[in-house]
Amino acid sequence: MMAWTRAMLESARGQLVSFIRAPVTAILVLVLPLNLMLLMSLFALTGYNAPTGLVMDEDTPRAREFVQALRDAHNSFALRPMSREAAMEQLRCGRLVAVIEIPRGFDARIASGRRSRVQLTMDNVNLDMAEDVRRAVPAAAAIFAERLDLPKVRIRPTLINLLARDTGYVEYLGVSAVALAAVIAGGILGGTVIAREWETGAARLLLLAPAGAGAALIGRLVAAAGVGVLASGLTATIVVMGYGVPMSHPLEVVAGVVLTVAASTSLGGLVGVLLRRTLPIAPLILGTQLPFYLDSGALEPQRFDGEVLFRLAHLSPAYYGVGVMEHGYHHLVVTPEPVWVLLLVLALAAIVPAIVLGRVARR
Amino acid sequence: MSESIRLEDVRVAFGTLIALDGLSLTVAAGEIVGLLGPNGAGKTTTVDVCCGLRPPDGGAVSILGVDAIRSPREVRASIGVVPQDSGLYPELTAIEHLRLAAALYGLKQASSRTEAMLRLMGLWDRRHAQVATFSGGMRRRLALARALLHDPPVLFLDEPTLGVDVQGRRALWDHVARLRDEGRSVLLTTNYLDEAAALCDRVAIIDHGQLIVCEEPGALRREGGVTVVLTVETAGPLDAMTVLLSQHPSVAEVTRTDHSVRARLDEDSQVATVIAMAQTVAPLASVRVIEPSLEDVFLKVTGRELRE
Repeated sequence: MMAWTRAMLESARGQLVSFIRAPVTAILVLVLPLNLMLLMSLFALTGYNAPTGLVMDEDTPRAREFVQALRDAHNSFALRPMSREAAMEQLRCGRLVAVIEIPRGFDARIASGRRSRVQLTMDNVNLDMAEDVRRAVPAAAAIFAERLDLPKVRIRPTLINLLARDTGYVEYLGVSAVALAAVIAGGILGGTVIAREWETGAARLLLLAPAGAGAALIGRLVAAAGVGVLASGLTATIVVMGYGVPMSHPLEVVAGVVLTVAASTSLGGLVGVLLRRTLPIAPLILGTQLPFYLDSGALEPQRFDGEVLFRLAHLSPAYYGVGVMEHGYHHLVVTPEPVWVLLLVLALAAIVPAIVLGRVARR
Repeated sequence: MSESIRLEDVRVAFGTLIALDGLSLTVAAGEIVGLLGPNGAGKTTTVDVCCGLRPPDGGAVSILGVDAIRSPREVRASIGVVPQDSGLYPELTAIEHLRLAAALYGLKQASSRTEAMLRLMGLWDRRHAQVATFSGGMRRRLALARALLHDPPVLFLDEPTLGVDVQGRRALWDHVARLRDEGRSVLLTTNYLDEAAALCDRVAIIDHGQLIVCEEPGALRREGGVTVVLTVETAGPLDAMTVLLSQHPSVAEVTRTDHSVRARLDEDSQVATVIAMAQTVAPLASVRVIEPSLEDVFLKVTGRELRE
C-alpha cells in the first residue's frame, strides 16, 4: 500500500511538473472557465438591462409616478433619462433598444381623466427584445393606476418602428452565425495546417527549399481557406433555405464569407507558426473567438455592453463579418463603419498576417 | 581533393548552453564523413548551421565554396537533407511527396526524376501508397529519395537509420555508399558506431560541441589500441605472467581470469613483443587479438559512454 501511494504521489508530482514545464494545456484549462464565465455574463448582459431611453417632456408628480411604475413593472430594461434628440440619435446608433416619451400635458390629462398617449419608438432589428419593452408600458400603466387609485386611467402606447421591416431574433442570430462559422472554420484550419508543419518536422524541409517556406505555407493556407469557405458557404445556404432568410445583397454575402474566412485562416496561420503545436489551436480559437463574436453585436445590434467591449470586438474578424452579413442578408447597418470599410479591413486582415507568416517562417 | 563542406571555428550558443564550441571540420568531394557523438553533442546543430537554418554566433561555414551564412539561398539549392524526423506527411503517397519537393525546388524534369528516384530507392511499386502504411526503412528511403530529387552534390543525413530495423539499415547503407560512388559529399550524423565504421571515410567524434578527433575508422581503431587474450593450460603461472606483462610500457591494463590473461595495449605494434614476453613464463595454449570497437575509442577519447 505504501509503495502504491508513493508511486501514485510520484506520478502526480511528475504530471504537475509537466504542466509547469509545458504550460499550454494548463493555461488553456485555466483560461477556459474564465472564457465561459465571460460568455455567460455576455448572455446575461444582452438579455438584461436593455437600455431604454426615457424622454420626459414634463417633470410633474404624475409623470414621475409613471416612471417609477415603469421601473417597477419590468426589470429587463434600464431606463436612461435623456433629451429627445439624444435618445433618437442613440437609438439609430444601436445604443438603445427603445425610447419611451412621456408627453407634455401628461399630468393634466391624467388628472382630468382623459386619455394620454405615451410614445414608444422601437429598434425593430431585434423584435423580441423590443417586445419586452412594449409589454412593459401597459404593465406600468396598471401599476400606476393602482397606486394613484385611478381605476379609469387610460394610457395607450403609440408604437413607432425604427426600420421599415421587422427582423426576428432567430433570423438576426442565424445570419451572424454565418460569420461565426467563417471565423471558427478559417481560424482552426489555418492554425492547424501551419502548426502541423512544425510538429511533423516538415517545416525544416520547407525552409530549405529555394522557393522558400512562404510559398508552401501560403499554399497550405489557401487550401485551408477553400475548405473554410465550403463550410461557411454551407451555413450561409442553410440560413437561406432552412431559416428562409433571403439575401438582400448576395454579392456582399459571398464577399463577406470569402474575406472573413481568408482573414481568419491567415490569422490562424500566424497563431500556428507561433505555437507550432496543433493541440492548442482549436481550444484557443474557440476560446478567444466566441467572446469576440458575442461582443461583435452578433446577439444584439445594440451597443449596451459598453465602449470597451465594443472596441475590443474590433480585434476579431467576427465583428466585421457580422457587420457585412447583417447588411448582406437583412440590409441592416449594425456597425458605425460602412460595408466597404468592413470588407477592406477583412482583406487587410487576410493579407498582412500572411506576409508576417512568410517573414517568421523565413527564420 | 576539393572541399565541399568547410566549417571553421564555428560557435553556436543557446543562451548559456554552448552547442558548438569552435568546431572546425571539412568534407571533401566524394567523401562520407560521420559525425559521431552522444545526444546533445551538437550534431544536429552542425547540420543546421551548414544548411543555413541557424546562423552561427561565430566562425565561417562554406558549402562548395559558397558562404553559407551570407548566401544561404544559394547553398540550399546545392544541398539535400534527410532530417532526423523525416518530415513526411502520413496521408500523402510517396509520389505526392516527391511532386511537392519537385515544385519546391522548381524542377523541370519532375516526372522522370521522380520516377528515377523512386525506382532507385525501391519504392516505385509503392508509389501510390500512403506513407502511413510504410515501414520505418521505407520512410527513410523516401526521405532520401526526396533529398536526392534535385541532384544535390552535397548531402546531410541526420541520423538516417534511426528507428530502422537491421534489414532496413543495410539497405540504406547500400544507398548511402552509392552516393559516394557518384561523387557526392555526405555529412552523416549517427549514434551507431557500426554504421560509422561501415559507411564513413572519416569519423569525426564531437562532444560538448567540440571536435575531439577526426580520423579514418581504421586509424581510430588503432588509436584505441588492442587487447591480447593469452590462454594457458594450467592456472599456476598466471600470477607471474600478470606481474610481468604489467611492467611492459605499452600495456595499459592487465586482468586475469581462471585460465587466461587479458592485456590491453596502447599500440598494436607491440603485440608480438607482449606475446613473446608471456611465453617466457609459460607455454601458451592460445592467443587471441581483439581489435577495439569505435565504442572503445569513443570511451577513450571522451571519457564517457556513447549513449550517456
